[in-house]
Amino acid sequence: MTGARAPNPGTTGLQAERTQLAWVRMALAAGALAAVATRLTRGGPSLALAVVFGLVVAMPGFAAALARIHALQRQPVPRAAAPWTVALLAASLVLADALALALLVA
Amino acid sequence: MSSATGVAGWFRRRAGILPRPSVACQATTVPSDEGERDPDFPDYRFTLANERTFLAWMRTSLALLAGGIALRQVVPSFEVRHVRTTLAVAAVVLSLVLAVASYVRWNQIERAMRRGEPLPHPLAVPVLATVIAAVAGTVAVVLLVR
Repeated sequence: MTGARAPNPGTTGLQAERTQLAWVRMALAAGALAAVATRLTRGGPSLALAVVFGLVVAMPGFAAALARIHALQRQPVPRAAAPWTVALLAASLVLADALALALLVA
Repeated sequence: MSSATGVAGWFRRRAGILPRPSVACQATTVPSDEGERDPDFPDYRFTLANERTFLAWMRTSLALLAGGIALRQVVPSFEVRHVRTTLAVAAVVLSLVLAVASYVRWNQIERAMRRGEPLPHPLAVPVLATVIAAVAGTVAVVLLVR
């Protein structure tokens, strides 16, 4: 028994929709940051690091966002996000921070 | 609207005029819903709000990361040595701390809602405000001295 019931379409739809949009904004922000980081370091000695940086920031964020949006669309009554989805996003940002620190200090 | 709700109620609770609710965000019934709800699962509105708050923290962390990179790559060097790099590193370190703290906080709030406990205080907010004020103050001083 999960406590799930037939949703109230108005309430549930808006709540889930707002959360999906928040995930989309998060993925867009990660993609934009990746593009900016790659652009800023283009032609420098750390181009490979910048590309890795962009991939590290953007890809897990996209994957987590897609998984969560898919789950929200599938569930009649929204449930809490899977911890791995949240952890994946946080871990990708931690890795990006570590790479940025390496870029700054190097 | 009762005195315990809304913005005025929030200020009164913060000032200690009204008692804090001992139980926050427990499984509740949506006013227009019917039927029984499993008390082990919090209301989906609260858990989705918690998720959006986590995402807002992550975007704040991303903005700090972008700001740190931009500070190092775009802003011209200050006359005082190492100030620019130090500020950039401070922003990125704060971004890292926020990324970890946001996950921990999301987890704590989920647990608190499931157990019907009070929500933990947002410790990251004063830390964030202090560090940003320190960075902004340092930049202001460096620019004035210049």
